[in-house]
Amino acid sequence: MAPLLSLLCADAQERSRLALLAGEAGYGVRSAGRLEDVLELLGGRRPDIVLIADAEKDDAAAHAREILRVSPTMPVVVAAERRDASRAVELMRLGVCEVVPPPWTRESLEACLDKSVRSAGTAISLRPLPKRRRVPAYFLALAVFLALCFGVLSERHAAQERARKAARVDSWSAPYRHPAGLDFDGKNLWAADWFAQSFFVHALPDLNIVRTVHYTNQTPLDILFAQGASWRLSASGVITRGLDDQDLTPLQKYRTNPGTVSMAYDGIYLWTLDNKHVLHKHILDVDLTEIASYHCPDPDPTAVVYDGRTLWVLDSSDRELVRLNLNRPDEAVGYMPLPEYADGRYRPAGLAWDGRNFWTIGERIPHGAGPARIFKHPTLRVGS
Amino acid sequence: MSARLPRKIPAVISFPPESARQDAWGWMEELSVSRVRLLTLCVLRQDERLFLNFSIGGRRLGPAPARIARAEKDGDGFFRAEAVFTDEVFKRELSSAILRALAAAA
Repeated sequence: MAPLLSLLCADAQERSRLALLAGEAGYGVRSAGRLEDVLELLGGRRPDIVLIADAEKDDAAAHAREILRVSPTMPVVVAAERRDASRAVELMRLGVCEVVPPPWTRESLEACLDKSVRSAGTAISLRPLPKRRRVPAYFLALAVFLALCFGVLSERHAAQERARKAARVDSWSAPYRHPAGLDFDGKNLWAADWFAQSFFVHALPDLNIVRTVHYTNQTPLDILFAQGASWRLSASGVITRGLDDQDLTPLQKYRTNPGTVSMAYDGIYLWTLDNKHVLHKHILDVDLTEIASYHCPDPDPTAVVYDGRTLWVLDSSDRELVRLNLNRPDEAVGYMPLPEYADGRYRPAGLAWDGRNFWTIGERIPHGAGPARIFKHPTLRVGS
Repeated sequence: MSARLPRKIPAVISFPPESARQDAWGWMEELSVSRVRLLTLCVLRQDERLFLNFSIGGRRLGPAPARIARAEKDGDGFFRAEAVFTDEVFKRELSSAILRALAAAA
């Protein structure tokens, strides 16, 4: 319920103006032109505050004195017609709670009315007043507290992150021993084992083997999924294009360079890598025609992959990934070491790209002495 | 020793001539010998110099030179300021006035 204000103002125009301002300030207004009307109101429903307009003809001091005589605890506010500090203080000494300076505005009137409704006397003391706690000190204390909380929380988060990172599994043991190639079909990871003459299909993220594709009459070295087809490379140097179905149903065979060990597709050309360290560029015509060849710059390339931007070659002797210039693949433009192979227990044999990370498969040293291992490599900074 | 008067003490706030500001008025919320807390609709700024005229126990005091130590606007739009009295002679005069007021209030 809006507080009730009794307005005393002889001038009708000023009265309506003040009533409007007080109404805008949130007060219910009862206007009166004469003191008697206000005193009558005090006897009925008692207003919360009285506002008197001060004018030369209409002395607010006399009105305030009379109102305070009848109702001593009534907050009285005077709206001064002229700005006169002495007059204002004189009115305040009489008991007026506040004097609104001219020009009257809703803001100044509202401030004075609100403040007058809650008023108390002056505290006096011989000793200096106790210092108020300053707002900046509050903010400073709050900021220090928040900074401490943030520090503790971020340290906890960092510790959890470290623990999570330490607990994260990024290498898996495989049940076969002679891996030759690796590729990602968009959903699963395919590993070729030349000794088992099989492709092993690993489902992400835990790399369980969900399928095995075995060949009795050929030795698979690598597999590639491109242009909605599967491309199988066998040790005889034959590439078999097949359907991307359950049985990889063969459609066409191509004879390529003997000793081919790996394949990659860059969206236009098929790239093959042979064991003489030469990269061959083929167009996808009926003969898989070779249009160019480049000598790899690294000493022992064993696999090639396209990551959506350029070609990468897996160097098994230096245990690193070599980034090639796509236009001139005989030029290396970056190197990414593979610390997972630093202990020398595995020799990297296959390489795949899943859209975010490189995957490699390593053969236990010496050849096939133990189960192969698949490594997922974090995104690393490429050195030049 | 301290007390709270039944009513607030009003004060005329005047400014040095060079600031070219009109006189204003406000309430003294708390008053001690060395400083006073003012509540006024008039805009006050930190380090501003001013003069206060007021009465305590029927005794008129001032103009008392003072300096605003801190000022902030409250939620109603009033300025709450803490002013430090800078005149030692006035402080002694104020001290005796407060003593008399405290004696009367006791």
